[in-house]
This record gives sequence, structure tokens and C-alpha cells, in this order.
Amino acid sequence: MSLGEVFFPRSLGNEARAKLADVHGAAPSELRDRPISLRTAEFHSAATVRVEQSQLLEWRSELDRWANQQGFPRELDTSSRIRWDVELGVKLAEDTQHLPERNHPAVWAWLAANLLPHFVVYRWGWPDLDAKWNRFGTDLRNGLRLATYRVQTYGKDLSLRTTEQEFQSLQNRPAYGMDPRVARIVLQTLADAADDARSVYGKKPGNRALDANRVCIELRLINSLRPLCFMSDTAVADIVTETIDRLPEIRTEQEGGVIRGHPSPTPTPSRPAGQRRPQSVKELNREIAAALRAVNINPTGAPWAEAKQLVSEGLGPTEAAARLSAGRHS
Amino acid sequence: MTAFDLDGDSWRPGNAIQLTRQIRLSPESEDAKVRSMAIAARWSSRSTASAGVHVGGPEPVALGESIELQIHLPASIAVDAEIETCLVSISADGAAPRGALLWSDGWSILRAERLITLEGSASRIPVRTVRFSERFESGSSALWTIYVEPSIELEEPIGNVCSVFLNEEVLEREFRNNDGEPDASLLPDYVSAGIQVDLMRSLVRSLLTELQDLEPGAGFDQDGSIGAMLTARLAEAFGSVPAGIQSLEEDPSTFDRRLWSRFAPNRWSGGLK
Repeated sequence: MSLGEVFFPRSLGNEARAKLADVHGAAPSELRDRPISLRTAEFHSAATVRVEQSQLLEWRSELDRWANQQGFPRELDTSSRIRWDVELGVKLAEDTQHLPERNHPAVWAWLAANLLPHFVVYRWGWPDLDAKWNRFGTDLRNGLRLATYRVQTYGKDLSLRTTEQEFQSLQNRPAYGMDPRVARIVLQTLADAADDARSVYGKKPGNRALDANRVCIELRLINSLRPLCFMSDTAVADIVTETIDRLPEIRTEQEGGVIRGHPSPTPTPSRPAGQRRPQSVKELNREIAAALRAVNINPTGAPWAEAKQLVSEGLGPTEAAARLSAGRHS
Repeated sequence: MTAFDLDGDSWRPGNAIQLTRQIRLSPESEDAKVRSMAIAARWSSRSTASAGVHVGGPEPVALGESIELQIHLPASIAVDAEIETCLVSISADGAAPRGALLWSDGWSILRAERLITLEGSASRIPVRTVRFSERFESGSSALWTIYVEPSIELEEPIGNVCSVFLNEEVLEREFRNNDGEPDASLLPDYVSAGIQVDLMRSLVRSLLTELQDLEPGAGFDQDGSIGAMLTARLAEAFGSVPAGIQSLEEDPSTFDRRLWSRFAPNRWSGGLK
């Protein structure tokens, strides 16, 4: 059912907990007939043609009939979960393709909390009451938005060949993963390598999930110096293939506690004895960013890459930032 | 006005945006350096997790005396979009490898200053331009009118139940821009003040009973609800909601005057923009 060029209601924040707390723990099939109200829903102020309540309820009925054909509410296992994600994404992308707000995060948040919570709970289960309800929220972790985005970006066939970890490894690298062309080439190259017996990708002693993350980390470093978005399709694919070919080396470095572009485990003079070393890449990145900001350097692009290079060579974040600052003023 | 001046009031979901970035080379630029680099632009919209590059990309554009980079923001993006302009190496024999990022305006210009705001997060009241002679039976030479749905409640989002209609015929007659188009942005500040006073008056009258029954200190779940807006504005203008209601019932002219005091522009003599 195509919904036409109508405007949809929006959730300004994550309202799911407030809306669904009283039915928390209910089976997905018990949520399918929950009432909705557009009187209290927010629309964009320029929303000339607003979707009507009857249209939304009719759409939900049609989606429910479709879901029954897919096996809803039968329990999902690993393979049926991938198929459900992709089929749901195809269905939602098709139905919403003419909506002016088809990618709007607040629209997907409203749908998850109000019209289709049963699909979110069916796939992702109930979140703890005191946890964040990200699968109902506005970012890309929203269960409905995620399924749709995946199919819109990669297409059905590639989505079916991809593992959740590969998808997330890209999704978590917005510096290049948000560009659909680049993301598609990276994922296509990874999927092809996984099927290629001669490729080292995902093969012993490696592991497909870890290798996907390793390759995507490496690509992020490359991207900061040579943006993938300005490269041809072939050049991007070549870089991904070259990175895959270097996987044995990258794995060894990471197993030894060194992530490319990050400090060696050898204590460096720049970190005073007793000072806590960063426990994760994220923590280290925060330290570098803070050190750059302290010397008035915006922690992005080339300065960021240079600082990380210096840190990988053994300098502490503060010293690396100081050296960059001195270089700028010399 | 450049795209970076947008405040979120002009864009409508589903509208694509075409941007042009003009670049001129300094006359002192060295030929050899110019030949070794090219220019490119990229955009990203974090809210919709999408990104792309200039029209004709992905390859950067060779530098010339004057270049225009076109950037097409698709209709599917929302909230905001960040624009970045970069210089990229295109020389295979230079110090930097081909494709290396040589410079980006993102290194020196804050993200907030490279951001195009498509829509704000605050609630907005729909403002529509209509021809009053076609919309209303008897026609009208009024500049604006407030529409409030017959049955409204304090909890409802204000944008759902109220609209401001501007008379297109008056705009055509008196508020034309340099291109000869009717342009509501030319309306003076006192018109905006008048609309706000009128809107407050209409809403308070429509919801008088509900406001009288309101418990002292009552809050509203939604920031954009009518109740949240009215209680805040009445408290600003009259000190409290009951004081505002009392003023309306006992002395309507004082009620109007106090509202005008709250919304009056800084200057009345500013005239047309």
C-alpha cells in the first residue's frame, strides 16, 4: 500500500516508554491493535496534507496481513531474523517511498512507539524499563528505521548476504558509511570476499565479525587522509580489497594490543608513571580530541589524523597536540 | 541570503535543495600548485544518516580561475545538512598521494557555521498564504486572520489546531520583493506582534473554561502544547494564569493592552523591511 505524498506525525523525543510502559512485557501479537490518536501528535508546521487516522489504521491492517504471511508471530531464529529484517525493510521502504518525510527520524520514532510497536518488540524484544529505548527512538537504532535504511542503502540482495556485524561496522563509521555509494561498495566487496575461498576475509584464524570491524577501522583511518567519497567506485573497491589483503598483519597488530593509528603497549615517556592508560579506542580518541581542543585545533580532518599518527608513534595526546600546535605557529 | 542563514522556517520536508559554491583563485596562485590539486565538496545529514558529494562527483573538479560547484541535497534529507569544501591532490608525482586531502574548510570553520538548518526543533504555528476572496465568502482586505479549530484542548499541540492565514491579495498589492513576488518576510515587526496578540486572544477565549479549571502549577507533558504556551505567556504578561483570566473577564481593554505590552516590537517606526 503506497501512502502517497502525505505528512506523518512525529515524536519529538523518545516517547515510547511513556506510551508502552503499561503493556511492557506483553507478547507482540497483543500490541497490534493499540489505539492511536493524531489529535495529540505533532506534525511539521508546513504539513499541508496530513495523513488521516483511518489511513494509518488501514496501513497497519495491511502490514499485519503481510506480517502473518512472513510467519509473525512465530519465534525468530538467526536466519529467519535476517530474512525478516530485509523483508520488513523492503515492505516499509516501498510503502513510504512517496512520503516527504520518508527518512525523518521523528516520524520513525512515532511509528515505532504508536502504530507498529509489535514489529519492534517481535524483532528486538522488550527493553528494560530503566534502559534507553533505542529501538523505538530517533536514531538509526530504531528497529523500523534500521530495517528500511538497510534496504534503501544496500538493496535487498546485498542485505541478505550481509551479516549484522558487517552492517553495524559500517553504520558505526559515519565519516564514510553515511555516503550510500561508498557504503554499498565497501559492503559489496566484503560480501564478495566472504564468499571467495581465496580471500583471507573471515577465514581462519580470522572471524567474519571481527574482520569486518578491523577493515572498517582501517578504512576510517584511510578515509581521514584520502576521502573515499571523492574516489571512483573502482578505487574504493581496490582500497577495501587491499585492506582485506593486509588483514593478517592487521589482526596481529590488534592481537598484540596495538590498533593501527593507536599507541603501542610500550609505556611512553609522555604518560607519567601511574597515570591510567586509555582502556578503549573511544577513550583514547576522547583524550586526543581534548588535547587538540586545548591548543585551539579543531579535532577533525588532517589535524586529527596527524595527531593520531603521532600518538601511534609513541607520543601522548598532549604532546602530539603541542607538536601540531608548534608546527602551525613556526 | 545564503543557505547558511536559513533558520528552519523556509524549508518544507520533501523539498530538494540546489546549492552553488563559487570559488575564485587568487591571482597570486602558483600554476604548478594549481595544477596539482582539485576542488570538491561533500555534504552530510546526520539525522537521516545520508551523505554525498558535489554534482558530477565523486571526482574532484580541476581548479580554474572561477569555479562553481553545484551541490544537490536530495528531498529525502531532514533537520539539517553540513557542507564541507575540500582541496584534494590530483598529482601522482607530488608529495601528497593522489586523492589525499590537502585542505578542508572544516579545519578552520566551526561545524555550526557550515550547517544549513532545514527545520528547527521548536513547535511552530502553520502560516499559510491564501487568497481571502476565494477562501472566505465575503472576501476581506484584512492582512491576516487566525483560524482555531472549534473544539480544542489544552494538551493538543498548537501546530495541529491553529493556523495563521495571510491574505495573498494584500501581499501582492503591498509587499513585493525585488523580483516582484509577494513576500511575507517583508512584513514589518508590528504585524508579527499583532498576529501574536490576536492568536493569544483567540486561544484564551476558546479555552477560557479549561484555563479557569486549571490546577495551580499544572504542567503539560508536551512543550509544544497549547497549554504550555498559554500558561507561559499569561504568566509573562499578567504574573499568573488566574490574573490573566480575571483581566479578560473584568477589563478586556486592559487585557489587550497588557498583551500588546508583552509582544510590542522594540520600534514602531521601523516601517517596511
